[in-house]
Amino acid sequence: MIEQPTEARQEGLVELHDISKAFDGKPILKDINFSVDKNQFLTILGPSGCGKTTLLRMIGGFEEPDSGTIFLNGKCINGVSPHDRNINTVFQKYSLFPHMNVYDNIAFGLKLKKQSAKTINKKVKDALKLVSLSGFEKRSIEALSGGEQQRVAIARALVMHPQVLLLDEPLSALDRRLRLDMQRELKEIQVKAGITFIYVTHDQEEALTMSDKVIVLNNGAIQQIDTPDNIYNEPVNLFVADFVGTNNIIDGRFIEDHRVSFLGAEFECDDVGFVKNSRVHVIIRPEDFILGEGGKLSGHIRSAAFKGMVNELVVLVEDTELIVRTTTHYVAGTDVFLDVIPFNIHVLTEEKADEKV
Amino acid sequence: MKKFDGIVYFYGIWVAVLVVLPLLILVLLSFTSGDIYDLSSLTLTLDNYKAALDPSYIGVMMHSLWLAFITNVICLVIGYPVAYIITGLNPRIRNTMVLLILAPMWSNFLLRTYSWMLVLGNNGPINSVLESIGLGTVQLMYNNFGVILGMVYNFLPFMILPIYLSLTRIDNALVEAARDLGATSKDVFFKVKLPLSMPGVFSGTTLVFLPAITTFVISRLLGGGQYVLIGNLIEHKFMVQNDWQVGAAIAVIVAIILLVVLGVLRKLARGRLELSLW
Ligand SMILES: Nc1ncnc2c1ncn2[C@@H]1O[C@H](COP(=O)(O)OP(=O)(O)O)[C@@H](O)[C@H]1O
Ligand SMILES: [Mg+2]
Repeated sequence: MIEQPTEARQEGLVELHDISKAFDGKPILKDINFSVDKNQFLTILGPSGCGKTTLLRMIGGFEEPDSGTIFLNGKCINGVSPHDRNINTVFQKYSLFPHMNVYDNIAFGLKLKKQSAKTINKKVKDALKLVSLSGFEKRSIEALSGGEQQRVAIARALVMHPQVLLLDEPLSALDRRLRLDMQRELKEIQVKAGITFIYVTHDQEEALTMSDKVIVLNNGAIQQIDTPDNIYNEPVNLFVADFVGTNNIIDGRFIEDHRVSFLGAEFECDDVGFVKNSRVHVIIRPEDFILGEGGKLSGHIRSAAFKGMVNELVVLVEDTELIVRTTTHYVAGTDVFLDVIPFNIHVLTEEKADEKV
Repeated sequence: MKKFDGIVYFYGIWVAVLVVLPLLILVLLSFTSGDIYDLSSLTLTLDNYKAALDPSYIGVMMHSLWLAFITNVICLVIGYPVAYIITGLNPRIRNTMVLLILAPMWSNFLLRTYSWMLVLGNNGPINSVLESIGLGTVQLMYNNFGVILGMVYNFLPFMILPIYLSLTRIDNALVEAARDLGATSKDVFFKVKLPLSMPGVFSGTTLVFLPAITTFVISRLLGGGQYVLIGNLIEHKFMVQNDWQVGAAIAVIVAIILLVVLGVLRKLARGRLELSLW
């Protein structure tokens, strides 16, 4: 086993140091480093297959890292078996016990802790209420829908009141309405109960609305660790820019500090420090275009679609299709001018992105 | 779909001719007296059942039930751990082990039982060894021991395989979920694996209990010539005494007992057995 530092560390509640993992010689996670503070809501965001579940399984104790150390409360927990970690998991596949009803599933961990029947009864009832499944006690697992099973799995882990709760895409089987409700519930529980959440999702909207801190993962490597705000507004590389939110990624040229050109026009921008006259990517969010009678770019509206609160347009400028969101009504087939203020222009190069990681 | 219908019809006729018809004849026989080859002489009666419930016959039935029960318990006590151990092996060794368990079934049932007679006989290898170390000859067959040993040997694979199958079918994710909630290895076994393998235990029990209670070959060879089991009694009624009607009545009674046992097992299999393990 790895040498354990004996003195209490005062950094994060959970810390991962240089974690790497390969399956069958194929690297799945590379040099993962991050820490989670007490009572923090941390989300690991990334596309399917990027290693999110594997990472969570290592924290839960179901998979051992090939190298690196995991700390809980400052103590190395490499090699500590799952039932000896004060951590519980809401599994991606729910993993409910098919031979028990809803009540017994949720009571499982409490019974193992030898709590009194009265305490267990109360906790299970409360948990069921929390996930809006009151009255489901006697139901068999097979008789539940996917969404209901998912909520039982959440209740089963929550009643344990662990120090750290790991949630692996816990809302993926719910329809939108219920998902939004449950997002709010979970966030509330997390704050009220003072449990540290490590939450895995591939849904960027979910990650941005719920979390204190977001880790964007791709191909087993961390792309960016930041607040939701910064992840959204200051993506450090193309992957994050592309994955988080719908973004226009436009080829451009960095003329000099505060000046960038793209789509045949020159713009002022806030960015500095790129090589003069180098090729760059310009990131502009759909809602940041200013449409009107005048502007540096002239385009042709290919299509217009009403999406709830906004109109989403596809505007052709030169040979590039831009996605533009506006609250004003536009008709497909008409011409329009576009402009962007310096603050909303975000310049990226692959090189600079790599430096930051 | 036409082709499929054809198969269904064929299967239906097959079952009707080979399963339902003989059973019907058996039940009818058990309620009649007279010459069975002369339909006009047959009259309805309950006398066969009165004869079948003769105390000595009931004794044989009880004895059969008892031996089948013991056989089943021994098969379970040996079979469950074996199945459990095989499940834990790596897949390649696992398949070899399953083949090995099935291997004896490739040779003839009678031959296997005859070879046991050689092994257990007074001049067989076991008794030769006992003799040579001065312990004398021990009666290993023509008694309950021989019959039970023969049945356990022949029926054990039917216990191991269903349990093995139900154990391999348990999703490892459930084991992980239990460990996540604080279960030790012992908890995982008693609260997850054992309850979830109960269907295997019950179908294994069905597969052992049924042939154990109806066998007459094993009991005739290893139990000596007496009416050791109900199977021998029925065989004797039909083949030796030529009293088909009483034989049929005994067979019907045995079938009813088996149906009741199976029904209870089924109930148990679906029941709340896991609760008692807490
Ligand atoms: N036990 C395993 N053996 C081999 N490959 C695995 C195993 N678990 C996961 N993988 C592989 O690791 C990669 C990451 O998987 P996973 O962590 O489940 O991704 P995510 O949860 O982000 O979708 C996938 O390519 C998957 O096939
Ligand atoms: Mg996953």
